[in-house]
Amino acid sequence: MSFLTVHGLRKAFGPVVAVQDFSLEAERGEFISLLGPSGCGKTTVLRMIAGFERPTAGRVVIDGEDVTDLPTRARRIGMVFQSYALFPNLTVEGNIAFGLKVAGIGREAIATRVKEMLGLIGLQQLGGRYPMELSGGQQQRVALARAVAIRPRILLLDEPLSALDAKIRVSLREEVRGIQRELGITAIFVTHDQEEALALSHRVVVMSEGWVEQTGTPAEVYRTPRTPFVATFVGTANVLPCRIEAAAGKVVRYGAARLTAGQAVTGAVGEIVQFAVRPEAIGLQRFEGASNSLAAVVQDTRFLGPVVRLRVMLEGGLPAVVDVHGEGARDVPAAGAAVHLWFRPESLQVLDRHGHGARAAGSGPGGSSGP
Amino acid sequence: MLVSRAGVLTAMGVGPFALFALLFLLLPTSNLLIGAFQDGDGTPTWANIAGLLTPSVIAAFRVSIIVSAVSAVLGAAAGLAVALALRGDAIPQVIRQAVLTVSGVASNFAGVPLAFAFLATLGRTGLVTVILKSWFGVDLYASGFNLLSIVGLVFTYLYFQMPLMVLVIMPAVEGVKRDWAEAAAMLGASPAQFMLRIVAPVLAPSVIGAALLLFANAFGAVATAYALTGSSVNLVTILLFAQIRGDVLHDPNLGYALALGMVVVTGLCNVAYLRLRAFSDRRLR
Ligand SMILES: Nc1ncnc2c1ncn2[C@@H]1O[C@H](COP(=O)(O)OP(=O)(O)O)[C@@H](O)[C@H]1O
Ligand SMILES: [Mg+2]
Repeated sequence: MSFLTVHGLRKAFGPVVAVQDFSLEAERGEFISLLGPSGCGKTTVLRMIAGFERPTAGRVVIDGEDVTDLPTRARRIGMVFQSYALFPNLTVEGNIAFGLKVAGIGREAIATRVKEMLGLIGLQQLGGRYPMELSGGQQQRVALARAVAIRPRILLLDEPLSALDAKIRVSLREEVRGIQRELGITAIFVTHDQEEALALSHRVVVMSEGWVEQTGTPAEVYRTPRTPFVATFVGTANVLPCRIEAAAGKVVRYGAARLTAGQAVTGAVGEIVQFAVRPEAIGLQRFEGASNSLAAVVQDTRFLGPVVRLRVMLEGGLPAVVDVHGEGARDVPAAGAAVHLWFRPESLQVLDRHGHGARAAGSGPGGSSGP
Repeated sequence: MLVSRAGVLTAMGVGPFALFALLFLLLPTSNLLIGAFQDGDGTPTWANIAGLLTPSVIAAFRVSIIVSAVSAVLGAAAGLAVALALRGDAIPQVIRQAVLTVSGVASNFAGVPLAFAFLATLGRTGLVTVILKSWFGVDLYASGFNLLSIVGLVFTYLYFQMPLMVLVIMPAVEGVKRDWAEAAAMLGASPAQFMLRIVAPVLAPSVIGAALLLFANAFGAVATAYALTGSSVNLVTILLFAQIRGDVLHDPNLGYALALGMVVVTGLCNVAYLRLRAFSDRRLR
């Protein structure tokens, strides 16, 4: 059994359903990101795990203990808030010691633990300062130390870095991850920044409009996106609607072009299925290729440093994006040039044809591994 | 020395305030200070100050300070409770707004109208007094209550002290973030521990500051007390009023001394308040 099991969480605020159906199993020490655009329900999921919101439905089980009906203070959960939420009347040391004090731990033990925590976040010199006398990055470190000082079973982080500027954000995220790894604590990290999620996590849960779109390792979510939303939200993708040529075959048709997918496509002959192709998986050819070749006209080109990004118009009027890197980037076709796009069958990734509702009814594979 | 543009602009901005302070604060205060040490003919004397030490004046200061302090403490406690109750998402916005509006009106309700309102309800023949007596058999006045007394005065003052507290303390109470409560709960603290260890220390300077304001507010009040009790309750302001009104007690220079004494009391309040703020500034601003 997993260390953390979240099953069928749902939260309605009056007519607004913030979270539709959220399930997740996390192993001890795992670092999991909830990734999705603003308003998709990430914070609400975290707040239900923390016990700040009462789920409309669903259970939260930590280490075999069902905590769904427990108040927050009995859950032994550490949380880091986007706003830091440090106590302004207490010093850095006072903030870190707060949870230990209310737990009735002895003075000596508290002093030792506080010192250890200050070392962990590298702020040994600033223990006597008040929160208002610290930078944003320092405050967030203190908030992290305060949360882990109580040795929580789970660490919840709600966009802890989003109020910081870009440079600090990157260095602090590595620090957060390092501390999490060092303590071996199970962490759920909320972010709307796909790069952050991919860089840090063992697994990523991609959410949209209250639904889990997909759960998987960063590579799985990026390479084999399950839905059009995941394909386009995590990285850039071209989504092609194609028609099934043969039942259980790999061959589909986009307009007149015949395309071969990496795996067999289920569905009735004639049915339209969405496919994703990453811009970097596409090559350019002067002549039509034998297979997986799409005619297009270059609209414009953009130099982005490591790659040159071409916006092209496919036959049939669908816009697409192609990234050219390496030597080819020195000599890309100009706007107006007719080109042929080419990609490997493995790069043509089939997407779920159903929306959220269908998945809720249980027809799809879903993102989670509920019991 | 060159005067910078910014300097000129600053002077233009501060100028009117400086003039105002000079005309209505510094001049009257120095006039008061001088008058307190002169007799009717302008000859320097300690007689007025000595007059402050007579039993009736000392008693007046005592009663004034007691009435002000008690109404300030009770008003602050009740107002704080209301403000805390209005905090958060539990109370609908409409009710919050209504309470704040009523507070705005009630905190300014003083003087003759307030005295009349209380006489008409809790006076010897007031509506509530009569209803309590005839319907419930509770005789307020027989049980020792008297509106025209120190207790009655405190009671009446509470009518504007409590709403004033609500208005004054609301911003500070709203500064207590929901996140703090959640962080405390996450760290294992009970609501009581959160109140004691976080909310109380954070709000203490504001609450004490507001209570001092309430004290000064009651200490300087004269119209309500005079309209309610005439001169049956011996307050400094009523005594002062008697000195400058021109009846038998007429002695403007003792009046100056009384006013000076009041300035000293309110001044001490201000010093206490400023020290308090300097103490809390480091953590909260
Ligand atoms: N307390 C609340 N009352 C009403 N609606 C809420 C409340 N909290 C969140 N919501 C709504 O639920 C949805 C999801 O919010 P949230 O979980 O904060 O999203 P995210 O953290 O992904 O940005 C939003 O539409 C938001 O407006
Ligand atoms: Mg959020």
